[in-house]
Order: sequence, then C-alpha cells, then structure tokens
Amino acid sequence: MYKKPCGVFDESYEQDSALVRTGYRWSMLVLLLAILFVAIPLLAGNYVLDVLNNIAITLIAALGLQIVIGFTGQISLGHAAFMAVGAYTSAMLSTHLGLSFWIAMPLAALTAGLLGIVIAMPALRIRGFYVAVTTLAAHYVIMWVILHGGDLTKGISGLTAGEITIGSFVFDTELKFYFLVMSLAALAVFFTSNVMRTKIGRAMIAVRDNDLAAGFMGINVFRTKVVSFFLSSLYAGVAGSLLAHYQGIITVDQFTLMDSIWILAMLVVGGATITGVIMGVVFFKLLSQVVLFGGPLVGSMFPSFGGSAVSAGMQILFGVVVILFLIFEPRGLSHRWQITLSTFRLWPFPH
Amino acid sequence: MGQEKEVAVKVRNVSLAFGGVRALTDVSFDVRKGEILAIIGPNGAGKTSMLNCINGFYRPVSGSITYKDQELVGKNTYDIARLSVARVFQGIQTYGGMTTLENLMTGMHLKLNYGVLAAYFYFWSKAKKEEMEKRRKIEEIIDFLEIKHIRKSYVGELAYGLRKRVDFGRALAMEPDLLLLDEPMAGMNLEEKEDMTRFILDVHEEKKTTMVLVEHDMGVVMDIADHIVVLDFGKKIADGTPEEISRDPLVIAAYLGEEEKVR
Repeated sequence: MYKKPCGVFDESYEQDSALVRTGYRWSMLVLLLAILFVAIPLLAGNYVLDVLNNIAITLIAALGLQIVIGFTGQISLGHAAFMAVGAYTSAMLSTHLGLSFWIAMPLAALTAGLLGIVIAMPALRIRGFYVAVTTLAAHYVIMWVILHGGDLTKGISGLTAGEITIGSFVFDTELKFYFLVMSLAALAVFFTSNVMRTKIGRAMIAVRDNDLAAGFMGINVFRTKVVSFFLSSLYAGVAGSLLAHYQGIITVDQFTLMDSIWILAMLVVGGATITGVIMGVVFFKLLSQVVLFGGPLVGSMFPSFGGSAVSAGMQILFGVVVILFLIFEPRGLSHRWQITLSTFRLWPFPH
Repeated sequence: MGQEKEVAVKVRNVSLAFGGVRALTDVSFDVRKGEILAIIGPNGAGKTSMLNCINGFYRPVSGSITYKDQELVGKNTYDIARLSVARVFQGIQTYGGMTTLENLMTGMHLKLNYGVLAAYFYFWSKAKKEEMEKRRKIEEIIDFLEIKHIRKSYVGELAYGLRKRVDFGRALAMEPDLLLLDEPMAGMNLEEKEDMTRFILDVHEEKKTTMVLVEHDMGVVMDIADHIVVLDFGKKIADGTPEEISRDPLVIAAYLGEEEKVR
C-alpha cells in the first residue's frame, strides 16, 4: 500500500493525483534537475558524458518497451528492430534528402510507430508467448530488409547520419548532445507519467491484469494493444534516430536481438513502473561500466584465467543479476524502493 | 406477474452450444425496467452463460436479445458496455496491479472522452479537467461502499471480500442502466453478504437500476428479487415471483430431485 509521509494531507483531487506530492519531493526534483543540467555538464568529462548520453537514449527506448511489456503485458522482442527503423529512416532522410534532424526525427518516430501498428495487427490476434514469437520474426524481417536495402541503407557498410543543428549551432560534442538527449529523456519520463495516470494508461494496465474484465468495462482490448504498440515503437523510433545522429554512422549489427533482450532485462530489474525503467536502465548501464573496467582488472589479478574467460565471466554476471532479481525481487528495484520508503515513513511504529 | 412495467431486456429463444454441449436451449424471458431479476438453478444450469450472452461474450447460435431497441446478439462486449451494461463477475476479476481508486476509474473509461494526445499533455488539455470531474463521482462510490481506507491500496493485496466490493464499485462507476451480477456473494460470510445485499438494495432504491442477479443463496434471492427465472440443464423451467417459484413443483424437483425417484 502506498503510504504518504506523516502529516501530509491532500485537500483536493489534484493534490491527491499529483506526481510530485510534497515540498520535500519538489526540492529533491529541483536538486536532481540541477545535478543533471548544471553540475554534471560542469564537472563530467567526455567519457562520463558519453555514458550518460547512452543511458538517456536507452531510457527513451526502454520507456517505450515498458509501455508494451510492463503496462500492457504483451511481450515484444522486436524493440531493437523498431529502433533500427527509426535510426535508418532518420539517417536516410538526412543523408539522401538532406532534411534537418528536427524534421527527420519526428518522421522516423512516426515510421517506426506505423510499422509497429502493422506488426501489432497480426501479433495481437494471438496471445502471450505467440506475440513474442511474432515480434521476433518481425525483428528478422526488418533486419533483412535493412541489410538488403542497397544504396538506400548501404547494407553492411553502414549509413551516415548528418549532424544536428539549430541555425549555426551544431550539436557536435558530447556536452552539447548531452543537453539535447537528457532533456528529451526527461520530457519522455514526464509525458509518459502523464499518460499512465489517464484513461489510456489505466486501459493498458486493465488489459494486462484482466483483458476479459477490461472488455466488459467497455475497453476495446485490441485497440488498446495496438495503441500501446504504436506508442512503444514511437519511442523506439525517437531513440533510434537520436542514436544515429549521435554516432554519425549506423550499422545493422548495432540493433541485435540481444539488445531487445537487454532492454527487457532492464525492465525486469527495474519493475513495472516508470521509476522502474529509470532504475533498471541506470543499474544495467552502470553495471556494464563495472564489467568494462572490472573485467581487465580481474584479468590482471588472475592472469591464469586468460582475458577471454574473464570477459565471458563478466557477461555471465548480467545473467546472474537478472536471475537473482527474478528469484528475490520479481517486482524489481522500484518495488523495493517503495517498501524502503514506506518502512521509513512508518518507523518507529510497526504499523 | 402483477404490475406491467416496461420491458428492459427481451430475451427470445436463446440457444447456446459449445460443440455438442447445449448450454442454453430456447430460453426466453423479459427483464422489466427497474426490477431485480434473479436467475437461479443448479450448478451447470446455464446461469452464467446467460449473462455472458447478454454481455456479448458468448454468441448464441440462435435467438435474440434486445435492449434499448438494439439487438445485442452479434455485438462486441465493449460495444454492449457502451449501452451502460455493467457486470459484476463471479470470483475475482479485478485489476490487481492497480489501486482501488484506479480500478474504479477504469469503470469510468467510457465516460472520459479525451484521446491519447490529450493524455500526453495532461496539464494543458481537457484530460485533467475531465479526470477531476469524474474523481468526484468515484469518491462518492468509495464513500458509499465504505472502502475509503483502501483507496490507495493495490487491489491484488486485498482480502477477497474487499476485492468483491471493488468489483461492485467498478461496475457502479460505469453508471449502469443494466447491472448484471454474477454471484456477487459467493464465498462470503454472513456479515459480508448482508453488507453486499444492503449495497445492492441501496443502489436499486436510489438509481432504479435494472438488475439481473445470479445467486446461489436462496435466502438472499427470495428476499431481494422481484422476479425469478429458474434454469435447469439450459432450459427455463419456471418464471415468476418468489412466492410462485417457491411453490413450483418443477423447481422443487430440480433442486431436490423428483418425487418418484425419491420413493
């Protein structure tokens, strides 16, 4: 049960349904934004900024996947493919047609979204596991098309994407890009929170928890699923487009099935809430940094293991983390966080 | 049937079959406006199947069900919900991952008219205004059902009796003209049953909602129903007031076995 801090009373429905409910939390939010947009840009070096940019892009993609998996309860394994659609559409529009990022990105998002609908239509006539298999097939179809796209997609050699500019201002450094992606990620979190407390979000959760009862309540189950696939692919498209323009060049092997599964793993670790997405993405991305630096370190401490064995062992770490979460906290970090908060709010009274 | 009220739901010759099993055979009856009609019968008689036909979840092989001058047979469940037909389910069919409040707000789904884009721009669109208007009505239902204390609890964590109450509240949030109750009191203790009966009667008194009730507790049925339809093996065997039904030899035979066999 959700527990408010002691002494906080709501006097209107608006207060009761507000996202940020107390003065303390407002100050924490302002502090967080200050850290994100003032302290980090001032202090962080290019490497840290690069990691954070990747976190922000993954966060946008993961929010999209959360809509389909966490909220609507449909397993999709095609998320990386939808990111690829967004990335390639955006890159093609900017390279072949010379369109600016600000036009290419929305078009890329829309293309990914519409493709999401096309794939959702047959996938959602069936249930559960079969949806996963259908999106899996979609992944390979999309990848095949991109790989055999000839001059349009440049096949395996990779496609360039133009720089992002506003007037004469060019987003060409990690720092400049950081402001762009972090703002977009923050907006994505905010807007997604909005959707989830309206009838659209409730309909999705209703479909996840009990699609039978949802139908009886006047919720068009099929349309809800299609809308959630559309929104999900839209996010993937935005993330893909950002990735393309951030890196300047994209190749097919940046969007593998494993990437879809890693995002899924982030959601498992985070839990089925929006806070969960943030926690899961940050947790995984930081863990991969640990692996990146820890791997060689372990290798130098125990040379007899050999470098490849160490890097393989570190990959196993990811799997172990997911398994441990499934066993000990299947509802993810965000649930654990809620429990911790509630405990502190009730302390020292047992109930 | 004494007073001739306007007919709300007209069920005519409805037959339903699953493969070779005939769940309903030629069932016809009228639900009059504002009455509580109880459908009773032994296990497997087709009571829930009948409700599912009205809801559009099952499609009868023949027959017709008319409500508000519309044929319900062949319509989707969510289209029938648009005609203000609400359902309280047998067992637990609430949304466990949502709070009580959100469960009830889901019942309001059809009364909220904003779209996806408005939902994204919550603060700057009609979404917030509409939500807050409906919140008022939801809070009235929460007060009425005495579930204030669990408003923000996740329904999946609640006890059975409370979940049933949330289910009932969710149906009320649809502001129904026709309320289908499928064993709302199954598995409850006496006190919970009394509470639920009181809620049903209060709603009936206040809103004049037409209700179709499936219930096994004969005490409750005889007390609150205006009109009873008895099903046995998918066939209607009796139709009348509680007094008529309790004296009907066919009903007694269905429930207690036939006299010849007893002898």
